[in-house]
Amino acid sequence: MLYFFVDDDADDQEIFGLAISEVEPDAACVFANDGIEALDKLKDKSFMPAGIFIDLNMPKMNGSECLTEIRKIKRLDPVPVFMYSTSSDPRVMEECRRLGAADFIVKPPGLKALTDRLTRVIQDNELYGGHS
Amino acid sequence: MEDIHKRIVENEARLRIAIESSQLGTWEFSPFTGEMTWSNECYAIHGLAPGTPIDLTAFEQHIHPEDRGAVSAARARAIDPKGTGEYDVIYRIYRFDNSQLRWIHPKAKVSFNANGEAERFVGSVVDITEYKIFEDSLRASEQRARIAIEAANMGTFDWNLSTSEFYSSERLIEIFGFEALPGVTHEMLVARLHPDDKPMRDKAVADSLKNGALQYEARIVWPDASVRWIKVHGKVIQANDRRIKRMYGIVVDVTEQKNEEVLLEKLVAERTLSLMQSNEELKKSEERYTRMTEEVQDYAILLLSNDGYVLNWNQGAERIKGYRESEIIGKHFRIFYLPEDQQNKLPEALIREAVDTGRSMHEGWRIRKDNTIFWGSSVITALHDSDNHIVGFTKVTRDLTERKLAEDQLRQYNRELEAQNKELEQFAYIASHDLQEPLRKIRTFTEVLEKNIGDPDQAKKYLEKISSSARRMTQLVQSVLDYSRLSAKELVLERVDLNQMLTNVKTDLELLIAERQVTIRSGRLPVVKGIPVQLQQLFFNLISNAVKFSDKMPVIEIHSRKLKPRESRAYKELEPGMDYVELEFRDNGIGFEQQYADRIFTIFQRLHGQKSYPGTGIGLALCQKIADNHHGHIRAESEPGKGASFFVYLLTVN
Repeated sequence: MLYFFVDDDADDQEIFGLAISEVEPDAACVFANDGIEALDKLKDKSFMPAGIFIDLNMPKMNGSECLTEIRKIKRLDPVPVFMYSTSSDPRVMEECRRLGAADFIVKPPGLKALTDRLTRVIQDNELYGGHS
Repeated sequence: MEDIHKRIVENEARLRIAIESSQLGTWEFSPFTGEMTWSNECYAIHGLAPGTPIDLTAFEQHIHPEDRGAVSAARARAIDPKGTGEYDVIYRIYRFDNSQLRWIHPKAKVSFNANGEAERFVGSVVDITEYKIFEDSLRASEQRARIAIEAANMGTFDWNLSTSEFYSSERLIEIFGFEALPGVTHEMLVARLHPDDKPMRDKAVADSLKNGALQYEARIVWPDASVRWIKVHGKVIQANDRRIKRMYGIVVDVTEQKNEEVLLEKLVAERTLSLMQSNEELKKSEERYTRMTEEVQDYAILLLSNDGYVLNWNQGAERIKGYRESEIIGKHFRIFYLPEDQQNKLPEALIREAVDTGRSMHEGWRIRKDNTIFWGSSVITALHDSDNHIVGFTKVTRDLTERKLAEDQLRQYNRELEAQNKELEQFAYIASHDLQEPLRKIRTFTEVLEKNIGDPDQAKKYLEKISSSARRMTQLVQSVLDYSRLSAKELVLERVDLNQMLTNVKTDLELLIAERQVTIRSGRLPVVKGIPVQLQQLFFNLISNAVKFSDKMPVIEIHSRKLKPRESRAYKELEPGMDYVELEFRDNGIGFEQQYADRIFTIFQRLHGQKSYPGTGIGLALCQKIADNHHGHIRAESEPGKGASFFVYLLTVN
């Protein structure tokens, strides 16, 4: 499966990469450093990730703004978007669900915890091109 | 002989001239023959040419028919032998030449013969028409006077002061309340005078004997005890021999007039009294009102003319606005307003509103005589006359500075509370987000390290990451500490010379400036009220920020200018009525979009990725906090790629 991870923090990109390969050893991951870069990459119509993970707190365009823009793109309708953040503010989580996020992942303190959380997310959601 | 004859002729001529000049005609008549001889003057009187033969029948016909009887009677008397033989009659004739009616007065002496028969009339005649007209007019005027006296109901008297004889007219008797004239004596009349007026009357009479005129008003008492008023006028006439003195006079009953007069006087007195009373009341109420207005201390109450000039002034106005009455009367009320309000024609607009709607209300900063300002709330009310024309305005102003300041203070507290609340939220966010992030990384990388403990290269890499996260953690904690220290507000503002401040900061940043080849240009900077340490931090942050967000050789320009009061009022963060300077830090850096201009001052908000521009996101938040602590303000203007300008507003030292 191909995953798209949007985060301005290089460490977080590495951590996500480590975690997702724990869950799916054959998983591939594309990274973007901010929302603008993400939308830029999504302009390529052949780029159809199985799921998109967006960090909420980013410069220039924050996560929810990026989410809103992505949900405007018709061809990406079958692709679930997961918000990814240190924040666990229920108001923020609710807002993201309203804007079309499939789930909200609070960055857990540790690799094992993240791996467990990602496993559940992938099982619970219908990913693009995934098993039904 | 000749001489004698000549003298006779001369004398006759003289006599004729004398007679002619006196217009006296002479004539002779002989009853036996009917012969008449007339002088030239006699002919002239009758309107005939001298020498014209006189026809007796024609002569008789020219006598006025009404007078013919009188003429015949006079003739008969004249020729009566037993009479005096004198002919004297006045009658009218129609002149022969123009039929004009003339009065003539012939006189003659009749001579008788031995038989006692009238033989000859020798006489004179004079035209008395002019005299007759005069006499008639005289009679007419006498008659008029008498009619007037009667019509005026005047009583008349004639008092012979020498003999005490007293004549009174019937009307006079009536006035005194007597019915019939006979038997009424002067004493009886005097006795009817009111006892109180008697001395006055006696004095008036005594005076009249000295100065010739009598005049008095007195009451008389009628037998039925009714009281009448009389008015007496008299004149003392002295005969030529000074022995006989008479007084003529009139008496009028003036009771009606007098009663009316008394009534009128009473009415006038009553009316005057009531007028005086209401006037007194009015004066009192006016005085009370004036005193009330004058002594009101808490309100400036003034009267404005139609065109806005001050007409009166009270103590409150003096207290609130600082002008004495003598300084302000006659001045236009616009001087109470701020220069910019005057420029914007606010006073005129308020007057216009009062004209249109009856009154206008306004609240705002006003200026006192000593140029200090106060927060005034005023109501201008139009005053109308009975025809609904505007005759002026009242203006009532209250000094609400304290309330305004209290409100501002409250608003300020509110703002501060809100800010503190926001800060708390931000701190919660920091605690949950930014401070957790390095911790999360440390824990995650520790796990990864455990897995790769056998691989020295991997282990070194993750240990490095763990160490970096820990360093970042320290940095964040230090920043948060710095930020929270700024909340301590008990610091007192002192004089800070910004030129000195800039020199200090340049020294601190020496290394960075040299390394990045930074140019700092600045004009002469002002002295401000501030906390030196904080202002140093502000300069440090703004300059290092400008250097950090630059992709070329940084050029920073620092300018300052005094802020106009109108400009300071545009920023709600600034204290009203205080003097501010604006400092501008302009750089040639990468800039940002104007929509982020507010966000950059929020703690931990970053516009740029950690990778390209590392930082804690706390620098500008600190700057804002410092500006707040200085009762100032900070804002930014920028465009991507065109550099940024940071404006800082600080209190000046005069």
